[in-house]
Amino acid sequence: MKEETLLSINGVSVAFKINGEFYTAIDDVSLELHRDEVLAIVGESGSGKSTLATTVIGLHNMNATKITGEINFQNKEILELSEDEFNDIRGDEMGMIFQDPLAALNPLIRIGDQIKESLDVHSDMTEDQKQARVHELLNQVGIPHPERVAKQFPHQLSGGMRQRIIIAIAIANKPQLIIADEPTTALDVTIQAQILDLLKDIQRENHAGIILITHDLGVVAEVADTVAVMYAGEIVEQAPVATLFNDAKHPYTRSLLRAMPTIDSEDDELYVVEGAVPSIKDMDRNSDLFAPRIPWTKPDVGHPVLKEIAPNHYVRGESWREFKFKDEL
Amino acid sequence: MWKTIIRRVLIMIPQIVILSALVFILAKLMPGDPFSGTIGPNTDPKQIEALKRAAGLFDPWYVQYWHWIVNLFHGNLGQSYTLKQPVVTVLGNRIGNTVWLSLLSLIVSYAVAIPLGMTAGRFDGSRRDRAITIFNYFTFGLPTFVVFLLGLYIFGYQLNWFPTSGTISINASGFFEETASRFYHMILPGILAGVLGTTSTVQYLRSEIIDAKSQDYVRTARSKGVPTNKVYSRHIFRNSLLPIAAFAGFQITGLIGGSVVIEQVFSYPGMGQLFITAITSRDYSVVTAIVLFTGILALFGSLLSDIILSLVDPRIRIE
Ligand SMILES: Nc1ncnc2c1ncn2[C@@H]1O[C@H](COP(=O)(O)OP(=O)(O)OP(=O)(O)O)[C@@H](O)[C@H]1O
Ligand SMILES: [Mg+2]
Repeated sequence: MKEETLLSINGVSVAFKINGEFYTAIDDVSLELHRDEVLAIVGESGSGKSTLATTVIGLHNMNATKITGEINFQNKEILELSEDEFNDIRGDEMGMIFQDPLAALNPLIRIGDQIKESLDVHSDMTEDQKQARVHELLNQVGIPHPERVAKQFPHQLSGGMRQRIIIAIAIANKPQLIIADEPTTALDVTIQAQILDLLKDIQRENHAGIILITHDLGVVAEVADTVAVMYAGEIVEQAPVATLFNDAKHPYTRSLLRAMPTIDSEDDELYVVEGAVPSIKDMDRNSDLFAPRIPWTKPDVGHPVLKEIAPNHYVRGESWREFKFKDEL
Repeated sequence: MWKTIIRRVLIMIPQIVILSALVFILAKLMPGDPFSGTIGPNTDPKQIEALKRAAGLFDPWYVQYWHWIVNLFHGNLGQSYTLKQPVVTVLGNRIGNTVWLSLLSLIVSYAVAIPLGMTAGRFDGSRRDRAITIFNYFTFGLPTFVVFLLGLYIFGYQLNWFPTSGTISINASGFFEETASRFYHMILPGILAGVLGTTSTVQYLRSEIIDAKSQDYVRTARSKGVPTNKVYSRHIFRNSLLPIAAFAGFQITGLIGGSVVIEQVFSYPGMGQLFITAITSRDYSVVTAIVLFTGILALFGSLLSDIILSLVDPRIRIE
């Protein structure tokens, strides 16, 4: 099966202006997403996942952000679009689900009106049709009593309910591309599973492509087709999901997998990767950025590059060939 | 919502009791009694004592307090020592003047401050924003007294656009003419006080808007493809104006209390002017009454603020 390419990101870099100077947060990222595919982006906090997602949906403050590279979405070069042209796409052909359901809804506007706003902007339905569509969406995201909930305010709903509302907003116009930034992090496990199922259902219905951002590898194993592992604004490894779980190469990926809790592991056995992602101000882009966190390993010289080591399996640098965990030495 | 309001009104009862007790203590601490000024130096001290006893001045404090409260409810606040009139009459003549002037300056203040705050907040860092910040320095830093005098001199005496004192022209007759004349007298002091009163609103609104811009719900709105202007009008401005609306109740009382300077400069017979006169002439019963009145007004101001808040903020409305 040869899927249709929906989104291709080519050599995209993003830099933020901090006190008058630009610092790179995303460095030369290339990715491809097809219809019906779930592309998971994983990495620790601060690795640049949200920055990349925000770039795709064009929500950076352009007074303080420099973006280079190309993003092609449904045959449009979206980095070249004007604000108005982009507004035609946002919320229509692409929708985004945000990290924090508690803060992502306007506290002063009724739920129904917040969902309807997506329809107001992009469709020429009558008020009655919009109303019906709002109820239909609420129903679809699994909210009981849509008529009543539509008239309520965000604070009257639980976190899980609010996350469903945000999903309803994102899918209101049946987007081709859904970007979900940690859609389940704030929720408990049973609700997480329901939300993921819901996303899969929606995807099937519209043949949409999903970019799923998460640092939960359990979620990745469950829903992703392809996985890109990000560290310090770069992709360090990318592979189909099975390859990634069975044959991870990069020390960072392997560390993440090792740190992943499993049913038979006890808390005190959990592996911890010492240190944290450096701040974008402190990154030396001309070095092996993950090396400082595995000091017992010989780092790559200069800036390691991403190579395809097997079909569709990309790994950055060469140091992985020699890498062993401390207790394996 | 009615529940919220009723509960809020009930809270006011103990507040008023405490206020009245404080004012009662204040009244007792002030020198003089109802007979000061009416008694000559030759009056027999025995007779004075009998008069005082009859007036209850030797009763225990709680009896005196009770009588004071009862009198209060009958609108009896005592005599003004200097004006030889009941305090209620003296106040009654002035309250209306001050309330209307305060209302006008409040309206002017919001009419100027809200657009300025919105512009500064939306385009923060731009040249417009900086110009507004400079304007803000002026309204904050310039001595009100000097501005009022200058305004009076230029627009009142030099240009002759506005009357320079009083509340109404002596020639005005009939309801319509009188109202027009009153309004005419209020315009200059109202505008001056209003413009000088913009500082905190502009500053507050500006920072609320800058803060709202980076809120997640604004990002959600933008992710729907809502055009920028609409994002501002529907999400950012609305949410940023909420605390301003809630603060309006306090603003009103603040203005009424703070009208001392403007009323002095414009010889405008209101509460502020009365307060100054009463203090300088040691008219303690009037001072006490004004303190009581402003205290009650402040309580009502905060009640008003809470009611406004419960009307505009659904998070409070529902409870
Ligand atoms: N608007 C901004 N201005 C300056 N720096 C920023 C901005 N947004 C993000 N950054 C920085 O860019 C880096 C990547 O941040 P990003 O939010 O993309 O990480 P993330 O992978 O989404 O993390 P998390 O898992 O915590 O959401 C961080 O160092 C962050 O501090
Ligand atoms: Mg993030």
